[in-house]
Amino acid sequence: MLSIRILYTILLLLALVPRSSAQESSGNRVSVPFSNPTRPRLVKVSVINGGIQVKGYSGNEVVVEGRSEDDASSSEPPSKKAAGMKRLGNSAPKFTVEEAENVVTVSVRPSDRTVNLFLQVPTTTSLKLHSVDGEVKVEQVTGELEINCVDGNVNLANVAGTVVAHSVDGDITANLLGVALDKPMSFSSVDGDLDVTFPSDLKANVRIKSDDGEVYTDFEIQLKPEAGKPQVEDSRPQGGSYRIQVDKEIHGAINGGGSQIQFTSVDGNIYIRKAGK
Amino acid sequence: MNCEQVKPQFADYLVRNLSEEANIEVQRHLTVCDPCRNELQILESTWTRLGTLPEQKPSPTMRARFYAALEAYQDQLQSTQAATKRRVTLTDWLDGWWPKRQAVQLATALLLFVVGLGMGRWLPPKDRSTEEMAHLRDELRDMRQLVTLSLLQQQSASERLKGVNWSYQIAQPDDRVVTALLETLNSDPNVNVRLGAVDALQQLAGHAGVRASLVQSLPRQESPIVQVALIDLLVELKEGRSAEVLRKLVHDNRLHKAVRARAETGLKQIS
Repeated sequence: MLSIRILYTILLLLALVPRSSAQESSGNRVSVPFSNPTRPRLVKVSVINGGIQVKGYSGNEVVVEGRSEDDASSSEPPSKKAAGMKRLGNSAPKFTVEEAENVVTVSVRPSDRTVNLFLQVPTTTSLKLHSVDGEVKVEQVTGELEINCVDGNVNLANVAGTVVAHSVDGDITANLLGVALDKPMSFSSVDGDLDVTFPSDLKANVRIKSDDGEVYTDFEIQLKPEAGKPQVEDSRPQGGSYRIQVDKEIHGAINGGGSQIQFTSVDGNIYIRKAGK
Repeated sequence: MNCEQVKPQFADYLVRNLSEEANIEVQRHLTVCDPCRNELQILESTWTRLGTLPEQKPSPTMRARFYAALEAYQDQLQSTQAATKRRVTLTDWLDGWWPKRQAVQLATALLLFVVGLGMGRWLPPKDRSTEEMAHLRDELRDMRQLVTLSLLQQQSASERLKGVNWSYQIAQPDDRVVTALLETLNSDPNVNVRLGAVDALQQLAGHAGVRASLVQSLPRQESPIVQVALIDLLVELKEGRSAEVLRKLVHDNRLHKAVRARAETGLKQIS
């Protein structure tokens, strides 16, 4: 089927930016509508060198803003000959925003410069975010959130729906206001901590695996018999926390069971929190 | 007598169960009321046709099917009740369906009876119900396999994870499912889905070729967390063929330190 394809390409080769304006000096903003606002929306963002920040808002378009961290250390120092002159050229971030069949794809052209992307999306939008070096932050978005980081931290504040998140070395912090029924979730990290807050009425089957880290929760978890012999240490009456220690993996149900949620960490700790405390 | 009073008498009228006076009353009403006469004619023709049907006895298959259906229905009812927390009892629910007009009640009952008889004739008779149950189990398994296979192809990572989770419910998955899970392990774009596939394949380690495929998969993995999970699995399976791969991992400087450390301890455990 032929679909209307909108291609917004931002190529600002001649942005005049004074060197003195330091970090995140050059900003570009572009907004893209979805071809069918009533259908499910997806925004995909991929950045190698830089962070991604996404915030839900009441509008219907995706607003993308790119800011490059334009510090002196990243590029060669201006020569004496250039004293008193402005630099012409590509100090503005180059990114591409493309929309096809309700999927908005934002990608940054590889360069040695750090480019941070700031997005505003309709509150109900699914996200697929990928960053290598930078941090990923999402605020007030409901949908299927798929996040993959290598070095950066992941921070999801006041989101709802489904989260599938991974960071190799960064921490994953998430605060979920609502959980989609019957959709599996997964949080994983090698070196980072997983710190996830769920609504207190969460119904879930959890699989928790932390090899060298500890697992903490204030939820009551009904452990499945096959879970081995976990040591449960309940110091809540003394104002402490509920701590479970296992050799391998914990399988259990929270509030009678429901969506499948998996937590995997190699060296980090896992915190599963109940909201409203 | 008006229509409302006459209609409840139709059934008795048809089987000549009415008293002399009541019979006359009904007949008198029928001569003046067209709608009632039509209704009675329809009922009467159904009634006569029912009489021409040969008597049927439910086969053992019917019995098995009935109990299977009842069980499925009860499960469904329980789960919907749990989900919506509505305090509707079975009787309330049935009551809601029960028509309030007697003629409709009768017609419903007759209709259900006819449908039941029809089904009894139409369903192929089988001698042993165990065969039928085995068949049902196969169908269920096929259905679950199809669900798993189609979910593994979805765009959304959560849906693919669901597919991975579904595979746990298949009693004895066939090669298609095993291949699909291995494919997921090797090339799914999402790290967490690949990680889930490692766990799912652990259940299938007894399946032909799975162990060898797991060994082959390890050097192809790029994500440290999947590498660690795979090493753990191979070590737990005491898979000797993985020693060579593990040795390479230990000496690969580009790898994450956690992976190299795990490969090193794993190597000691399997040798």
